[in-house]
Amino acid sequence: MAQPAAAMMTVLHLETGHVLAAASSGARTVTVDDLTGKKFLSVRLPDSTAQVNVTANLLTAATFELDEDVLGSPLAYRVDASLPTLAFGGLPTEVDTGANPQKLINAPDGTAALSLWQVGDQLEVGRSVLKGGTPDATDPAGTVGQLVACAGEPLAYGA
Amino acid sequence: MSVARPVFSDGAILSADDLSTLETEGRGRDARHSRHLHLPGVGAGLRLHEEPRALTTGPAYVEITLLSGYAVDGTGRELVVAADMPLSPDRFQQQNLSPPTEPGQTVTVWHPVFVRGRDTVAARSTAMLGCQGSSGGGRIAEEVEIEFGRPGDASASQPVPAPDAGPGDGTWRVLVGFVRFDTAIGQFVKSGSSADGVSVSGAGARAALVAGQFGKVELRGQAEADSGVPALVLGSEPAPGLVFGTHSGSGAVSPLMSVDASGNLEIQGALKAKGTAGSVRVVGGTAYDGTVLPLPAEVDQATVDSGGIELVTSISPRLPPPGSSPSGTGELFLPAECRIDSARRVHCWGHWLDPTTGNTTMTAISCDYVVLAAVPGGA
Repeated sequence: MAQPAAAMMTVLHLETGHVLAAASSGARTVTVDDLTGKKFLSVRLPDSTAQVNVTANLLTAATFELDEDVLGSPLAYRVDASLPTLAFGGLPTEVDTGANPQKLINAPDGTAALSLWQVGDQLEVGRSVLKGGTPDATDPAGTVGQLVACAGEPLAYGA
Repeated sequence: MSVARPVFSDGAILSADDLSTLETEGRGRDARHSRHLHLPGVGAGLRLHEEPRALTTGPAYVEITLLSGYAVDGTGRELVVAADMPLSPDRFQQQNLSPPTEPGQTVTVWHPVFVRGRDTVAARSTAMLGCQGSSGGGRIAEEVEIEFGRPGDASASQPVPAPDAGPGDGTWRVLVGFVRFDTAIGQFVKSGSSADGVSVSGAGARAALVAGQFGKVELRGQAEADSGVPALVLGSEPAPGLVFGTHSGSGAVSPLMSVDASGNLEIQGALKAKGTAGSVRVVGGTAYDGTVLPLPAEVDQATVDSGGIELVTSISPRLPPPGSSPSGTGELFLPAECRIDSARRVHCWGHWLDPTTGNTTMTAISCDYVVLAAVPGGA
């Protein structure tokens, strides 16, 4: 008797591989447009009311065998092109990006950093490098939440 | 200016102007009919025909000929090409001194080819002159010439004559095709009937009503009812109905789809539609906070927005097991919100509660969902 097809899920991830959401839909293959409404994915920051609305053009959809852990906490995983499954990347960590930051990203200076700032209804995107544990970039005025993705590091966030 | 016609009386002496008015009035009437009741374009023939050629040095090219035919321009002036006309490479180069070429090539992009009218004085007749006459009768030859346009000219608008105007002076151009020209060898290399989204247009008809003369009206893809030519027939014999089908070659249309006077639809092929009345499509699974719930397969948002499909959704929070909090202690999860908004975006989150300290930590979670898409109507 033929084996039933394995249940699948779709994850949405950034160019750095950091997964921001996951969904399953039976036999239906869903796309970035399906899961963002062709607009954005709303990422709720841990232990915060702040959200960062990541626009669809920054996201890529990838399909993997269904994993309950990923569906429950997708922000802890990342896509690694060299692996057939998602890699556990570590729980998201909080980072301070203002003056005298206390919470830092544990990666060497010069590591590429993708910053996504939620400023009012708009998403601002910045690409920089880490300097002293924080992105070498200035938060836009009016930032209400941000995500910082450094390849190989857990997703970082700041409210 | 109002339209006037000449009136004659017995014994009157007619001038040349009177006789010319006879011709001018009739010509104007024809043009107004063509302009107001028809659309400009090719009525017959006027296709570009290629003949492969090669230079003695090797490069291939084509000789292009405009086949004889008939067109009507936007002023209602008829354009009669009585004999085939070759397209002149020299004339192309005169009218396109620096034609744009494809990147890195010597071959040009598509250039439109037009026909336009031209009045020329023809040889005089041998009419005898009267004692007051200074000249005999003459002729104006309504010739047609080929003109090469620039890329983009094919979709450019042209002036619209006044309602009472007669035929134009020939400046109105009718598209008959497109050509590519190799600037290195000075020859045409390709012709076509469409380019850059613009196609040669056949002459048309303006009508608010088309009435059948013998109990039916037929629309078909070409003038000849050859076998396989698609046709749409609205008729009253032998019974009122609408038939779409293909010609059998004997004058009859083999029905592929028909509607009778009672509204019964009969089709020979499969019916493919967004959905039949009363049908339901379903998608379900698990979605994380912040995502938009997907629609079932073959259901699009535009159809939902238009009311062509009704959605029913159901979601429930996917509660994390006790003790599975990030801290790994014996925290309990308390759901706070699980809903979708008007964009079907999931808002699903809650708190981890440490019962020993009372501390809480907000966190997003997933939900299980079902989306039903139903086509309204049906029994």
